[in-house]
Amino acid sequence: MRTRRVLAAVAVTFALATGARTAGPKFFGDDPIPRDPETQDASRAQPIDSSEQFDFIENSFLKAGDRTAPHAVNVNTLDEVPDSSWFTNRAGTPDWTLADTVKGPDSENGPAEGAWTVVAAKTEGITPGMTIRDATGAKYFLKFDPPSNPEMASGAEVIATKFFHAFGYHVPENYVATLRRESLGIAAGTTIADEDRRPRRMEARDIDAILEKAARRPDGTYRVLASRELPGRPLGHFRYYGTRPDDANDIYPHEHRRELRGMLVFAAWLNHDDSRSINTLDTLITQDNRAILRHHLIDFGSTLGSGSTRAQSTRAGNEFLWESRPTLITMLTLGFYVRPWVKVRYPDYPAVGRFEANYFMPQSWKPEYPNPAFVNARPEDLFWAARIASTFTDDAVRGIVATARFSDPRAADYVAETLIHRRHKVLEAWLNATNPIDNARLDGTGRFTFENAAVRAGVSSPAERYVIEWSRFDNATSTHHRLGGEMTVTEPHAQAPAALLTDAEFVSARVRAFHPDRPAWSQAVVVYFQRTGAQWRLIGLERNP
Amino acid sequence: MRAAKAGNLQTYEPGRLEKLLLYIEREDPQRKIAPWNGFYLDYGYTDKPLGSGIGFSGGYRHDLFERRARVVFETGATWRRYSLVRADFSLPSLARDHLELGVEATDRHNPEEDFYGLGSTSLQGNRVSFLFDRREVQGRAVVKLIDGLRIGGRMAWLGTDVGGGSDSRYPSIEQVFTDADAPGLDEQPNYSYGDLFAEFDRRDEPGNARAGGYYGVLWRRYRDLDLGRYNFGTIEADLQHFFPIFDKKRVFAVRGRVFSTDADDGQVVPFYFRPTLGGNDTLRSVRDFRFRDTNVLAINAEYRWEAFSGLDMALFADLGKVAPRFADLDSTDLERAYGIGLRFNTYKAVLLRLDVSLVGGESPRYFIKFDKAF
Repeated sequence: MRTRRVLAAVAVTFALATGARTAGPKFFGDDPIPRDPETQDASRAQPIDSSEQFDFIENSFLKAGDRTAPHAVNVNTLDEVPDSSWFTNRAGTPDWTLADTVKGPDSENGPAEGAWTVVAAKTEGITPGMTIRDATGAKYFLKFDPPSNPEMASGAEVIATKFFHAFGYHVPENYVATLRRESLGIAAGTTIADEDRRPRRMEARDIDAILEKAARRPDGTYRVLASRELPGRPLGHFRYYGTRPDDANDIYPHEHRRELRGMLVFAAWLNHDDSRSINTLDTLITQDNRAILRHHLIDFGSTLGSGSTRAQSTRAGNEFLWESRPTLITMLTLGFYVRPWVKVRYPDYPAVGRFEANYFMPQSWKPEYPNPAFVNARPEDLFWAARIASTFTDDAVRGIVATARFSDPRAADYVAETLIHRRHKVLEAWLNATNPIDNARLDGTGRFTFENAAVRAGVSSPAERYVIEWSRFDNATSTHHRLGGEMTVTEPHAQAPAALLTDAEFVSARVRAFHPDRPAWSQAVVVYFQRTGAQWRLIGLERNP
Repeated sequence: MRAAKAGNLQTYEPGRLEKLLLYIEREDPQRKIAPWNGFYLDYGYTDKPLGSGIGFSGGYRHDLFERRARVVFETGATWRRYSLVRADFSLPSLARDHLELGVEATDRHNPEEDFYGLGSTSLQGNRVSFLFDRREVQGRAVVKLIDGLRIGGRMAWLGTDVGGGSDSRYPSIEQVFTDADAPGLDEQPNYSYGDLFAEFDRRDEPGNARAGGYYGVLWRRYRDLDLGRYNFGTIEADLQHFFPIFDKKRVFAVRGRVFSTDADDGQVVPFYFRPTLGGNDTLRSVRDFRFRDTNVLAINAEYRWEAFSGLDMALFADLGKVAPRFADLDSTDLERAYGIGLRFNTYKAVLLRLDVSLVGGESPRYFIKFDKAF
């Protein structure tokens, strides 16, 4: 079991981990594992405070984390990410439906109608907000749209939440809700920080001060983003590198986790430029009678065309906050050099902000500042994520966008069409960045079939040919015994040599694809099959071994 | 592996830099030193004069009556021995935040103000220093009509003292100038004044504007309470506009200011109340206060470009003129300054500004400031 082997290898170094691949059995009886065995109790984990400024400095100037970029370390033998406290396979799995995608993480319909009681609030900071309990006692954090862009931040947050949930991440339940000033009360004893951050009794005019900065509807109500309190005890943000020293289950360096590396694809698609540590949250929950940390992505207010408090900056997604080269060029040319993204034009939909697909270039998309996991992303990490993205149909995209409840149907159409356009670009970029074959099967007759994810997604024409090399695989020693020469086919199917299948417990096929415009397709994918009675089951896959 | 780690769990320990930043973010030491309510220390002080040197202030300030009133006691001093004592009481949120009433008393000691003589032909070599002390009690009313629009008025009693300057690098004023050259040098009366002002602020971020504008007008009338010589009026207009292009990554900023004084018949405007031209926010090719007369025109234009989100650069052009008559504030014989600047900033404020005048006047001349140009 590769995952198990890596567990041991991580303890030494990644170099050893890589080397360990050739020693001992490759596959174990429980491979491919569907769930990461997070067996340790995490109840001793303590809250970790994070500095937003330090996060910027260390990622912009100090190159945090291990940048050697080995293969992702938390994948199973099928090169997939097992379910864990970080990730749950959803979109693309057999039981996942369009309705599941649109529903997202929601367990209800948002805060219950009736009296809402304010239990906390903040008037200072970039995004003032408040915490309420609804009539049922459920706790929600309320965030508001800026007056300049009604519906923008709340719409973007709901949409991004649904997407990231379907991708497989743990996210809060985020709802678009309506706040009526007259329904708001203040719980006894509620305090608010004064100008000197000292607590003082909260008053009605504090609520008014917060609402003054919010977009108000003509009928006097406020559209809010209601984010339901996450279950468990908050223990701080996770970082995109290293591990928590107080969580025994956290053994894979985050910059080498497949789902964090591959998140670059999703972030680029949804323009989640704020994909940084400060927008994550670890909570201590009880699962299977054991305390574990669950790792969440939170705060999607700066996604799509939203910059939370204003329309997204044109820089977002195009340049880090700090980059020396364009800065120097701009300085030395007295500003006459104009970064190309500055000239991009955006349609005037206040509810959308600045979001577009024509200029968007997935490979050069950037978050606010370097993210160690994104930096380490390898083609197979990006392919993994792009393959998930490819499962989102146009209907799924439109269904999610509808949940943002934009009052201007043109805004909703524009967001959906832009997302569909960007999805196409994302898939074209990253399904073609490596050999895209997948869904390999070997039946009892020796008929070998596979698919081409790029062709299936409509972002490439078929390969001219596929070249296959067959081997009998000795699992005990992890050695291949090649049988015969290269087999060339023009369609994604072939007949395995009869001699190969006789008496073999494991066989492998090394497949390369050739396409005049897709040089990366010639990288190898090795698939492994294990005999199960008269049939063969796929037990392993290595992309770019 | 997990079991092995379970036997060796550790508490996360941030490094030194992270600890420092966490402390700053969590404790906000600046807020502790200069709290909104309580005893405080601060850099600079209220309306600290240009050229007064590095200074600090301290005092006590607090909201009163459930934040419906506020009181401030402030003292400030600079290394050039300028000083301020100030007390202010205000009712800032009357009439549902539409009306502010306040009273303020100040005592300012400015021991080495600069003077080069009056008019546009004053000589750089005639620089002298003079003492200008003023004690003032003022009442104010400000009405906030709509977003960005404020109108108001003030009534004040003002006592002034002018004397020899203490800047050892330059002669004291009485060694070079007489009352004829500098009206008001020999005797200073007490004054009363009243004024009216209106301002319309539509800047996107007042501390670092990239769009919108600010348009302000102030009319003031001084009355000489003792000597019957210095009765006059002033009018001051300050118009700023910011033209953004490329998502505010480039900005053309323009500012025009006119300050005009008008003495009553047979009266004169004392030299210390006459407007000045020169320095970091008017004419950057000369020193602060380089020109002084009864009328001043200053025009500033800047082309600003964002090098990155924390640094703007600017090419600037300043034009200005002082004149004895308002009608003479025309386009002839304008003083000029052309130069370049660096501005380290956040979205909301300029933190550090370095402007260098390269052409015009007494260039090269540089200014390092912890504030915006305009």
